[in-house]
Amino acid sequence: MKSNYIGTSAPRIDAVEKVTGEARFVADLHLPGMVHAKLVRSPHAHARIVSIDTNAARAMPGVLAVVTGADMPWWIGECVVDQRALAVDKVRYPWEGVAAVIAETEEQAILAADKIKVEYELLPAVIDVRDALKADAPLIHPDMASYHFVPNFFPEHGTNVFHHYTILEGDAKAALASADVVLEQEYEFPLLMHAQLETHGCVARQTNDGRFELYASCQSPFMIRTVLAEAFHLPRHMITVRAGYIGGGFGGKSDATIEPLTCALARFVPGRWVRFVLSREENLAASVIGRGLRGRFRVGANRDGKLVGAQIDLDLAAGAYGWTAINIVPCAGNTATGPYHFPTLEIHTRGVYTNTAPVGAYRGYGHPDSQFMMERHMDLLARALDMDPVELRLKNIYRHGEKNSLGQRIDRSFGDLEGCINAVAKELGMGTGPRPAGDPPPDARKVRGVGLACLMKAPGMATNAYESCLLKFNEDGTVHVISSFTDMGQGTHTGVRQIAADIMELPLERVYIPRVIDTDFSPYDWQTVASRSTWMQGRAIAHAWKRAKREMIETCAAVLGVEEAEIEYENGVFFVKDQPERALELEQVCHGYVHPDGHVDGGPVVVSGYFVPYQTYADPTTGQGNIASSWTFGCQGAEIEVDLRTGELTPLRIVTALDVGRVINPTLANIQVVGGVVFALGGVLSETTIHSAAGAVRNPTLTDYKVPTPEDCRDIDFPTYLLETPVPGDPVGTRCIAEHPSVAVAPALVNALSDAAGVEFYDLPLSAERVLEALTRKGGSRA
Amino acid sequence: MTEHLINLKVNDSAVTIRVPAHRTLLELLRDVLGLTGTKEGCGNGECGACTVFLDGTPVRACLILAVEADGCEVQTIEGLSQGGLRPIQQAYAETGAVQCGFCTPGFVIAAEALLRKDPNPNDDAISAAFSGHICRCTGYTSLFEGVRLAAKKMRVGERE
Repeated sequence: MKSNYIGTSAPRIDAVEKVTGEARFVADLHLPGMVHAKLVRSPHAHARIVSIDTNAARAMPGVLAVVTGADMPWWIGECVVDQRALAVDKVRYPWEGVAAVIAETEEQAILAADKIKVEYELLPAVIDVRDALKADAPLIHPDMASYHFVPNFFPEHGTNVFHHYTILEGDAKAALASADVVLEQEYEFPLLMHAQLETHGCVARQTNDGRFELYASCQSPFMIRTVLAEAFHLPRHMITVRAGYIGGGFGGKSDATIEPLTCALARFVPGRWVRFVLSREENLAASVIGRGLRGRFRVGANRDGKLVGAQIDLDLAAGAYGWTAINIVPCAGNTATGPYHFPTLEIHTRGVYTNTAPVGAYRGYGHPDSQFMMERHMDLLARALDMDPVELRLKNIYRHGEKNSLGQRIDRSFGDLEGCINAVAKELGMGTGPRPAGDPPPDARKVRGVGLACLMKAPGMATNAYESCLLKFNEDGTVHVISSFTDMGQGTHTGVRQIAADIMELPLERVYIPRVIDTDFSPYDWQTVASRSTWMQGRAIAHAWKRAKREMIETCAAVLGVEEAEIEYENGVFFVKDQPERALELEQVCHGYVHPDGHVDGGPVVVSGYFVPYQTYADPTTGQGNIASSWTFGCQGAEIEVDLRTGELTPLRIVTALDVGRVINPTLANIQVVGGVVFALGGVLSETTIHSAAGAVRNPTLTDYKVPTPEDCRDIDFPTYLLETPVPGDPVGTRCIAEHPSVAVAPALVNALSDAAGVEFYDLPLSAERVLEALTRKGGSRA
Repeated sequence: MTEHLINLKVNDSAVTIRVPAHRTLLELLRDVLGLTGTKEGCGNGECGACTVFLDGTPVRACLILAVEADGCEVQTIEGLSQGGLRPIQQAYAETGAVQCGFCTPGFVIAAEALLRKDPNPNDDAISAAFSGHICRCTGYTSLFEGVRLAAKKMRVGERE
């Protein structure tokens, strides 16, 4: 395939709309007759609802309806159906919705919601996953046995474990018993908030003939349609989901969050548009949050550094409802090995209900959590073996044909991890020998250190996670490439336009990508998650183009009076083989060919295409199977400076090397990397979700939940290496990249901190306060 | 609820309107005047997405009451974009500073205000102008780069 546009920094197609404020987001919609919803939310993490008094609220001006959970019998969920639109009988997390008011204005809804009185009886709350796993732990879902689970999930009834995923390969216990060195350590990746600049929003109505129509700030309109269809027992065609621009997603808008509730509320005011837009506090405290993994790693190696086996236990604190987290469980489990070959493995990963907001996708989907632990472990193991941490990694990364934790054979076409490691090591001057823990000289005020960590990620998807597209040719030979992935900033529309132009050999200006999705008109797309859209959409377009070309060749053959097999295509022109003068331009046939006497051959060409990779379910006992496709491998590293007086950690350089197969748009790819690194950096340095002992969320504001600011980032250097090992059999040849720059930032920094100052962290964040505490404990503080 | 009659100029158009005392400038712009290019990211002055010009000074529209704008001139992203893209808008598009786009109008106003005062800002000045603005997508490097590029574009433009 020729590439005129792939590999160039084509301008972003949505830039003008966005820099002028013209781009419409859900909260910008003002629809005729629109009314407003506000919730009463629980102040408690776990409590029985004794009574709800709504009388005073109903009497307030402008109030159209007051609704509680008892009024809404619908069940919500995708893989496990465990949630209600509003809490029924008890609340399971702080800020869970208990009652809703719909009023003519937002102000009236707020004032009326204030009048609702809820009486609670407190239940013991479990925030820490270890408490949730205790034999006498309060059960957050005592009725779990009655819940509907899709196949291949393994709840442990009578406990808080809603899914237990196991990987077994060989006899890890025996391998560790005979290993030269066995290193054991516990780790924790804490809970984080997404803090998208745009909070969640939905505007929905139920039409008088019973249909639902909604506008949603969502990553996955078709998944929302599925959840709504199942919750309300409606055929898919009775639901129209519309999605446009999204002000940041990062996984937090990938599940149905407020959409089922907004639709449920719309049933109480038929015909009226109900607007429900979360406040900043609700966005942080009451919507989906992320990470929250604890792990215990036991890894054995021989004296020469060769890994012999691992026993790993991972527990995901998944919050009050499991359905947004259930697929994180296998992803965290099967990538806990990092990109290293373990001849024997025993990995247990449990998804556990806790009394926090539901945990869901968070840029990286389980991969950064468990690989944080393994990449810390590799550095500690290198110390125990007195080996260079780079050498230890290079010795154990998958060699051609070796199996990963899923039993998939990894071959060279999966990418050049060794090249990535070498690029990062060279940039940081690593790979020169063992690196003992830092030991600052007594007079030092500031010390520097370096660290690196490998990463790997594949999309965690259903086996039938289709990506599809429509090619709709216009009268003038321009073409609408219509897809249903959402662009929440990652630049997919721009990249896909470049891919489409190259696949069809047409000028970029002739390719138009609509940015609004409407499930009535747009082709099916599973979800915009897992870094899958650019990778999969290219394949779908290639498939559709094959069909479109066939249709147009049929028309050309009829017009030119030759066999179809004799027609060739190049750069927008169909011609007879070896007779280039007998030719028809694409625009002459893509909307039917009009003969001089007016009769036509062919017609308007509208074709569809799809792509889905080969995947299978995992084996229920061994956890193995083709449950991951399109691996991307890489390495990240950091050089940091630590102020020994204050504990302040300053990143100087954060290096990223990824084998992306093929760079579609260098500007967008580089921004994607820097953005992903900084997104993860917040979780390493400053972001923490703080719960009180009783489970209250202490910091649901952007003042107290500290995401990176311009000043934090201005002086950091972000060297980026994008390797391009071809992907065989793929016409475009790109790999997934969107989440990957967030995967190994945490272990790279924690390893660098150890290198600089000799303090060891097994959790996060590396806030100045915590680093100073650690330095003081170690006797290395100069405060 | 006390209401006040206020007179102001919004994007060069005269506006006379009765507003409740507690109505914010942001609510007036978005909900009443339909100027939704100005975004609400927090409502507490923490994110900068709602930044507009008030008598030429960038302010957080969520922290200003509509009555405080009585007698003032307000310019929003829509007003700034009248008559074509400003150099900072072009520059952001080129450097990759635009991702989800939700913070973008605020960052455009912040940078435009800076460039009006300081045609050749250094990183300290840019950082000060960006203070209080949050972008969750880009990691900020392309936003800094965008201001530097816009300054360059404006200098070239002046010479021509």
